[in-house]
Amino acid sequence: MGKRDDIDELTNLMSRALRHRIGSIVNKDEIYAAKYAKDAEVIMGEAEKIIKRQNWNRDDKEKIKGRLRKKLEKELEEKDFLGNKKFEIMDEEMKKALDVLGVS
Amino acid sequence: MQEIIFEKKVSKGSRFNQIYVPKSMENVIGVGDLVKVVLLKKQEEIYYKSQARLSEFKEYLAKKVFSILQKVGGIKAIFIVGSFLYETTYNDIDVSLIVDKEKENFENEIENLLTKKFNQRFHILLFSEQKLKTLIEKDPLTRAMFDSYISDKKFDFNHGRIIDKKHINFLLMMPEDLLEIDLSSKIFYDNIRRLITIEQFLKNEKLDRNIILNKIKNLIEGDLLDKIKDNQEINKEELDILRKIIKEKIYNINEMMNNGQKG
Repeated sequence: MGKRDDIDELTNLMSRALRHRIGSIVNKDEIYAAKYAKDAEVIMGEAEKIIKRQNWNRDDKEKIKGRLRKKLEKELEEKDFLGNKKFEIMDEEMKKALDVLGVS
Repeated sequence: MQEIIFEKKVSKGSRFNQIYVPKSMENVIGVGDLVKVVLLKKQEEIYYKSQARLSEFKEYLAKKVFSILQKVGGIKAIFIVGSFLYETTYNDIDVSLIVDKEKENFENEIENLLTKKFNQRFHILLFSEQKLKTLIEKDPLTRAMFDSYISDKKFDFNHGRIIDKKHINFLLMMPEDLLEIDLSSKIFYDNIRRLITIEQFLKNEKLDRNIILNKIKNLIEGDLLDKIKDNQEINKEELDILRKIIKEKIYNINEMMNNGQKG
């Protein structure tokens, strides 16, 4: 698989994982918040595997960031049952995740 | 005065529980004498809820877990749920506790205490009584988890059922994701099980583990079922079969919620 496909798959996984994570934060009174955080970890684990497939240069990292933001925004918009604070913490959570994966 | 000691078990009386003075001591301790009662050992009991009796070894282990945790302050009731009750080989023992107050890091403290004592992995879940009540009312997965258990005390979980659409939508996020992203096959198994549990809950049908497992068996043919339970790799055709099942289940669940199915 080429870099372009990997970026696509990576951002698909990360946007979903982050949606779960943000859901567990903004709906922390939700009775099962810890479970959603676990779902996020499972998906993020798959994203990590893709990260290891390539050497990412600065351009790639910028592309990842841009696509991830777009996809995540869409994911969060679609899930109207997630608390309103979701967009406020989006950037912070995105940065944390990219840092952990080493592509910030 | 010479110290007079005897040991007896507390027995059940019609109005009060009681301790009888042995016949041989009736001249030593008589009516009107003042005595002091000291608790030497708590009776180790196991309450079974919809659960076949455990093997002698598992009962011994469960009693030990109960006895250790009963000495820890702030725990109101102890439950063992999950695979320990049904399987001969289990990865960890799921222990759920009702606590007076949710203290920070208490889960880890308990987990470390038990792991150290038994050299066995434990997974600890803490709930206040109110939180567990809410979960049993609203959350199909918790309700299924507490469908059968063993505990150190008799506990009434006869709570009603509340359909919280927002919560169900939350639970559907992961199965919905599986329609589009490739994760390991065990995740597909877990999420099909999750969907069947939600469906049963919405229909107000039994959440018995065997019923749910049978439903999975009826949906997925033997070889594929074995593969995904073992987290083995599956091919594109098999993945399509699982996605079709997930899609249908999500559709059914949404239909039930939109039609206000309350059982």
